[in-house]
Amino acid sequence: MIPDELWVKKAVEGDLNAFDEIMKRHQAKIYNLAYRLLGNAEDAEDATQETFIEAYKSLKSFQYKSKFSTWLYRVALNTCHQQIRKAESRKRTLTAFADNFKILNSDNGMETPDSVAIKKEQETLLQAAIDKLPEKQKQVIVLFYVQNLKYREIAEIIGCPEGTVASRLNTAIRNLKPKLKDLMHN
Amino acid sequence: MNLNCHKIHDRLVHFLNGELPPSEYIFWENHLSECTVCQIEYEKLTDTIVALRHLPQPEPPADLVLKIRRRLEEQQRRFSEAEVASKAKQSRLNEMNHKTKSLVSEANTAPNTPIFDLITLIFAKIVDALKLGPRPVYINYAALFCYLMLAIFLIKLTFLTGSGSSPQTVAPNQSNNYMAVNSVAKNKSGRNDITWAQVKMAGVRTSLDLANNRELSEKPQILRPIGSQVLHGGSWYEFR
Repeated sequence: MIPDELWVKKAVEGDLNAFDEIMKRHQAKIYNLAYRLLGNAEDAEDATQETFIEAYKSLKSFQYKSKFSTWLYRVALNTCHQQIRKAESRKRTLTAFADNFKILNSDNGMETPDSVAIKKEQETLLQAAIDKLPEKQKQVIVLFYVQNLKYREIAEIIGCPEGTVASRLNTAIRNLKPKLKDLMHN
Repeated sequence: MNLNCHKIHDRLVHFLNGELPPSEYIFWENHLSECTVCQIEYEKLTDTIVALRHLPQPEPPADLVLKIRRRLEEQQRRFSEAEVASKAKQSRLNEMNHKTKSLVSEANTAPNTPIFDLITLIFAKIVDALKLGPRPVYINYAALFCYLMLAIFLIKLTFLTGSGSSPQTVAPNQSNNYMAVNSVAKNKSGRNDITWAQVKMAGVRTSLDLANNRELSEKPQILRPIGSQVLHGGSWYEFR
């Protein structure tokens, strides 16, 4: 597979086809990150578009010192941060209730209409709990559990020591539990 | 539960995340098999973490890349248009600058420059120094305007000086063969003021008090030819 950095070099010279390749390769990750940070598909799409447009404009500033994906995540986090500050319209109504999340552990691959509906409700509930977290805790939760990045990579993206990432993640998980409980009771 | 359990709870998330050194895992397994409180905490955290890990990965819209590509192309098109417009503007400015410099150069090389050309040259140099870049024809118009203003000023200075009143004659006026001299003296406030004049009649110098038209005894300082005028007390005096 051609490394990102080669496509980046071509894109810097104005080759939009090279940038297409970069977008195709990273769009799912960036969209997913934006979706979990912003909480809905519409904002996630806007943020993904803005991320890639901003990335294209700033490609010349990419120093090749870190991985391109790390740099792109940084751009995406900044874009989402701006979007969060601007958007007040993404309050969503919660309709879902779930007893617990153990069904996710007992997923045996047999999808029934009921189990699909419960899963959807649980996802909604969990996303609502994530939305209630402070932005910095939300970032580490999404980057670690949804994007499957390592502490080291997250530290590089958000620009802080690994220890900070670890403690922030610990706090985030412990904040998430009561929020989930509250949502379930409501 | 013992005191260590509080410390253990703080690191439980990292144990579940697989971010602890492998050497610690045996300790963790042993402790969890013995401590019921930590086991409950472990299970609660596991539920939350598993739920997070199982969050579905939403698919981006199929046309997302295409939409971004179109926006980028549109931006590039606008950028190109702006660049072309900027180059054209720069070219026009260069052309104007070149014309201005040519004008300055011509003015510099012209021998015995008449006053109009001199004013034009001064304006061209000012415009060139300020990099205002107007069309050179404006410089000519501005110079012509200044030239006319200068001419009007000189005409006024020559023919329409003072309040317009006709000069008064300073006595004495007995003969045509004397010349007049006058002097400027400072009054008490330090302002230059003509207070007296001295006239010479038939070889004899006499000082005159201009205000009172009487003779004084001071010595003259400035010689004035016959027919020259002085302003005193808002009136013009002519020596005859």
